[in-house]
Amino acid sequence: MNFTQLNLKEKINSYFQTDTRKKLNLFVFLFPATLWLICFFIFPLSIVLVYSFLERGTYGGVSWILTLENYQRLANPIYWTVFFRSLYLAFLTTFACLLVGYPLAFFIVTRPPQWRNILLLLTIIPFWTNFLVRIYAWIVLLRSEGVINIIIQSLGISNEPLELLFNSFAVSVGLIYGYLPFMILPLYSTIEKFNFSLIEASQDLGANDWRTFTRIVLPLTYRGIVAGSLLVFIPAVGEFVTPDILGGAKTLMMGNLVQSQFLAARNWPFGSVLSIVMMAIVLLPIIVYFRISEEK
Amino acid sequence: MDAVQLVNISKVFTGQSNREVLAVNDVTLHIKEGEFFSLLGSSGCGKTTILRTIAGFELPTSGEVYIHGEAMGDRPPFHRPVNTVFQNYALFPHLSVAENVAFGLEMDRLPREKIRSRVGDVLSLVKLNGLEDRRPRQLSGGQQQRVALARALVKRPQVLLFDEPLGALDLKLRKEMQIELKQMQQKVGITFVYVTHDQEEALTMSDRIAVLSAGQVLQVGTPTEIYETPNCRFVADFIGESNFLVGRVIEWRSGGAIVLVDEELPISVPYESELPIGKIVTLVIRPEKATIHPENYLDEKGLLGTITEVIYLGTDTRFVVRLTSQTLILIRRQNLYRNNLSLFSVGERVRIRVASDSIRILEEVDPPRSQETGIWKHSSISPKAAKD
Repeated sequence: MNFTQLNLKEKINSYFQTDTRKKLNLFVFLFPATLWLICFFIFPLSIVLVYSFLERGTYGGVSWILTLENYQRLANPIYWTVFFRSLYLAFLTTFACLLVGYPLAFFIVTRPPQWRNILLLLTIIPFWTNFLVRIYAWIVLLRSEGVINIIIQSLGISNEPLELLFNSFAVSVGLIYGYLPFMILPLYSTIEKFNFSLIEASQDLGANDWRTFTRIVLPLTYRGIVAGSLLVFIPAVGEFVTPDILGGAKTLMMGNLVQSQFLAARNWPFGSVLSIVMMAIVLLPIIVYFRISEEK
Repeated sequence: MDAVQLVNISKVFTGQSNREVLAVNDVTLHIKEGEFFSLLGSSGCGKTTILRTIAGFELPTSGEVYIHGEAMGDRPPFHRPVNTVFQNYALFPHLSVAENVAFGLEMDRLPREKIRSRVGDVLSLVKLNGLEDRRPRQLSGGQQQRVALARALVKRPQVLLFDEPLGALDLKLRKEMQIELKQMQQKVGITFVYVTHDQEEALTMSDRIAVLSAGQVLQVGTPTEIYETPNCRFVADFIGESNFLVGRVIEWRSGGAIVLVDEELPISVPYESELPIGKIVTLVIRPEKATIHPENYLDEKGLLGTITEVIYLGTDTRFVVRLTSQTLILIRRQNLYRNNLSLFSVGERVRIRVASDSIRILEEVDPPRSQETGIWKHSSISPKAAKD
């Protein structure tokens, strides 16, 4: 799992420096992936981009009249609320996953080898169950007569059932739960490569535990943190299943907006605009990531 | 006052399935101020564990570590006045050479200007000027080693600890670094505690050596004491090469004994303490201290034997001689003259003589490790080759 060693620029450079024969080899190997990307990524993306400048058709679809109206609609603060909520929830999810995932990944790395594999397996096991089923399971836990409320009331912490479901709390719980493994795995692969004798060297030179962590451990596991955060943040921003199921009608995210524009409102051009905005938001952290990995 | 004092240090590790391993067994050592002190032993003898208890990475199961008279108790490593040069250097890969060296001073919250000048000083001391901005992985092994040394030295610790710091270097570089380290130690005057498994390294550099085996200190002394008067068979065997001859005490006068070797040859050997008549003892003879002579040489004294092997090694020649008792003895003779190199050849009957004060008596008698050979573990002649 080499999220951390991805360096596109280097690979492209080396492509142009090799001789023809090597280029041919490279072409053969890259052909399927390139074809795939063109057919199923660049082509649809172009359609979305074109649609965003067209007028909506009466019964869905588009009519071929150029307009900027769809972009002007973004000025409406209703959409801004949804964007900010998405960003806020995605950041919250990323941060919470990091807070839980970092110590956990550290814990797993420092176990004896036979335990390490079992613990890693345990992090992956949730993937064996369908995501929808797992999110529905949270309803059972969070609803007013749910497991958590029963426990809270029987312990006498609260007399009335707490409002745990169909709000942004429920959505963030669902997101954190769903994306935690994507944080743990890249963190694990980075921390596993960390040379633990550096901790002793740091202590030996007079650094206490906190300074050893901030000056040595954190900078050297930084790439794992960035990779994990991206893997959590990007899908979390565009998430629409979790807010749909756990958020109710009040906690819309960008993904829900896109979905409703395409399927319910049948406004494909505006749905395209929302998709493009979402992509732009997601692209930002990726650019930041490449900057960091280029620095070295 | 001693720089480092270890008093009855023991360390028990709990290994797999809760099995307890006694890594250090009741070790007491006094390391003097300004001394180059080596802990010498083969791997697993507890030498690194002892070093780690001084540094504070391990806490002794029992006993106490004193540094300049101060009990360390359970003080963490970052509160101890010692610094370590690690075996794999443990340089911080994300920091430059200068930043690596400055790290310890930054932890002491020294002013920036002072840090800069001290880092500069120590980098020129270890001859790394001009490499300040390199990252560790851009340096050769020897350079990395110097950074590790500089990083520890810059803190001006009272005691500097070394955990086999030269182990990863090639032989030539290692020899250079040995001399350099020794000179540096004399220059800065800091107490060095040096862990090594390389006996030659320990002999070259140390003021005093502690020889360890199975978690215990066997002998502490200067290189000369350790080599010339080993106090037990392990030390004699581990440091340099040794021939072991078994003999019986037939006479004892103050200051010396006469030991009968092979039931035929009485050898008089100096010995301080009293030996009962009839006691079986071991005589240690270093290969370079025995001389080889023709059978009918002078007074016809000396151990009689047959040469079974002659190995020319450039600076000297090794002879393997089978004594009448079938014991094999290794003799090393310096090649002083070019024209008498082939004086002795395989199959020839010879006499071996050793100056009596070059022989060391050990009161212990181990069973020989191989039925017919004298024992030399660190010899370049394999016992197999010597058998014939």
